[in-house]
Amino acid sequence: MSNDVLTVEGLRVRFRGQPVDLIDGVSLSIPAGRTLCVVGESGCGKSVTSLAVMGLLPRRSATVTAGRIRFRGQDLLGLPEAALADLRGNSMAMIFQEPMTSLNPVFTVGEQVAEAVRRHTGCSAAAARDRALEMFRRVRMPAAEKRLDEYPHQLSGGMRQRVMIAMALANRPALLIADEPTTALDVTIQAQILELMRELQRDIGTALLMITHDLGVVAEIADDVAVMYAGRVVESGPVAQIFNAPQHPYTLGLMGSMPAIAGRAGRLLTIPGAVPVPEAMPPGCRFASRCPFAIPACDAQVPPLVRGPDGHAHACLRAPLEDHVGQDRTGDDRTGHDRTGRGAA
Amino acid sequence: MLPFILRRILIAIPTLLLVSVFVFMLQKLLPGDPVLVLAGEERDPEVLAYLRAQYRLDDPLIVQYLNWLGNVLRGDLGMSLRTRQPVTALIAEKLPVTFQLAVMAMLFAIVIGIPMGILSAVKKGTWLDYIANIIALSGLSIPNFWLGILLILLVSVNLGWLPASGYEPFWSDPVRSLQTMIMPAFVLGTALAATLMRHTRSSMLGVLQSDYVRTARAKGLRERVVVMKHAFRNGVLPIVTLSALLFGELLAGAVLTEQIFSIPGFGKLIVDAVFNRDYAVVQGVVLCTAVAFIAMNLLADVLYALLNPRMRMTS
Repeated sequence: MSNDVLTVEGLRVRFRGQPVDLIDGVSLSIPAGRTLCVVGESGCGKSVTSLAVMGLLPRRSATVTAGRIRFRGQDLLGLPEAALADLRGNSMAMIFQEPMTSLNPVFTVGEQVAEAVRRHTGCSAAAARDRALEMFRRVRMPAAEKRLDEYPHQLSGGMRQRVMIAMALANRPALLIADEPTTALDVTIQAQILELMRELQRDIGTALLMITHDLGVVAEIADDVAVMYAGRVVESGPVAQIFNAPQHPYTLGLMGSMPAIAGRAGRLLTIPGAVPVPEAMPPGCRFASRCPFAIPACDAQVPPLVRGPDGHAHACLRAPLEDHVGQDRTGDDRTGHDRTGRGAA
Repeated sequence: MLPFILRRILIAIPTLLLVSVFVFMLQKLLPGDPVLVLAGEERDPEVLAYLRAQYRLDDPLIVQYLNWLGNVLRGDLGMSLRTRQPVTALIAEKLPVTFQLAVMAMLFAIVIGIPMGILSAVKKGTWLDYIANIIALSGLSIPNFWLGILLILLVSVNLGWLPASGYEPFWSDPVRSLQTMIMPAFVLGTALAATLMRHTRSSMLGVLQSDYVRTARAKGLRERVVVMKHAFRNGVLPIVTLSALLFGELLAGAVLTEQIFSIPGFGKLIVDAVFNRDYAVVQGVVLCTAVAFIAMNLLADVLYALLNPRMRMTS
């Protein structure tokens, strides 16, 4: 896996005043030019993981307690802030969820893109402006030249997100992290922005780490998927495997709660309960309390993430789940015995 | 931008008229008869009647007001009942004094208060923040007159570094002028610096949490650029408004500070005028202060609009 642009190994992040690590041993990797989607519901630690990679965690309240983040072979966690800043916006860039508030209201958008170029290339103001204009054209900003001198409040949400993309890609980063870049946008704009990101990613050869809770986006853009729940990766693998044969009950639940246009009309499935709060994090599988497949062993031990030969990994003692469908439908299995005796190993 | 400024000026006109009515009426409602002050020991009804007629104090109020207002608009604020000097001349004499004091105090406040506010926001929760807050709290709670007396004792009496009182016009002897003004300006400036520091701190704390500051960091900008360019340019907006308003207050004169340092400014002028029931002077000074305050408000709005593109566009 030497061509991985980014590898995260056993990352643990703790927030001040909390009894457990919010990010509890997350491992991810992205090969050059590929797209990894990190999926999960709000608060599962997707954004915290990406901020940790960028070195943008709030310094006073969050600390990385363990793990490694390697970017093109370089250990980011050991890097001094100044060296990390040299990478940010240059070889690794990030797009945020809120285009409305992510741009500085008192500077023109052209200035803000040019600033990123000047910071890392040291070129002249005129050259940086030219580069900004070129990027505006590439992100298909309508009336690109005129927009350079406009302020964020004069642009629509979709246009602002194009500015963010232009800014992030201006220095041709090897890694682009996009934290729910389309969530705040209209559905029609969402599709345009996704298409644009995919196209630019191909052109530039950027590896893309896409954070999303939208499985539609995943189906659209991902090569690989990592499903996160309560600070852990519970399942990961190539996108086709995850969609066709999900092996973690949480992934299954996520799929069930996704409306399908062509699918049968019926009630959407919901996952009962809520993500456990940090103060009451169970010692074993963090999903157990909401899991219809759970057995007593699930509460006792943390299920390891086991990788199969096809690259598909899951962290569930009860996998493969197909074995239990039918017999566990009633969901009262928690009172029964561990009939299969099958661990994930 | 220009229509915005013109509209602001138009809005200021009714405010000014209202102030003029208020200033005029306040005078009439104050107890005490200026004619008796003028006449001194004299109690001859004929003399009193003559004085009344001369100053047209027997006219109906509305006539007195309109006369007064007409004169004011022509730049005539009347004569001091006591010294027989034109009020405009008195104000023209005192205004530069107060203006110099206000500018110097404001400079102190800005130079100390704003950097301290930024620093304590950036270093929130550290000992630097606590020390800055303690200094600010002291600045707010130490009374001006006490600080003034203490400074005179220390700097003038014991160390003999600066003159304890007096005033020298800036243009006649700049060095001496600054020497006499530096202590009163410092005294006035400390409380303002504390106010500015507290506001800068809270404004910067809010801005530093914002998404665009995170974007600036994600661009790889140095922390100094993130704070001083991206955060400060936004965080300073409310501070500009506040500073302009505080400066307006300073122009009204600082009665206590001027008394302690024997500075012949607005504060002293108005106190003397009130004690002598010198109506014309009180009216003139209060009106002048109100105009200065409204002008500062206007300046605050214009500066805010200049610094904030969102305002510039919608105006």
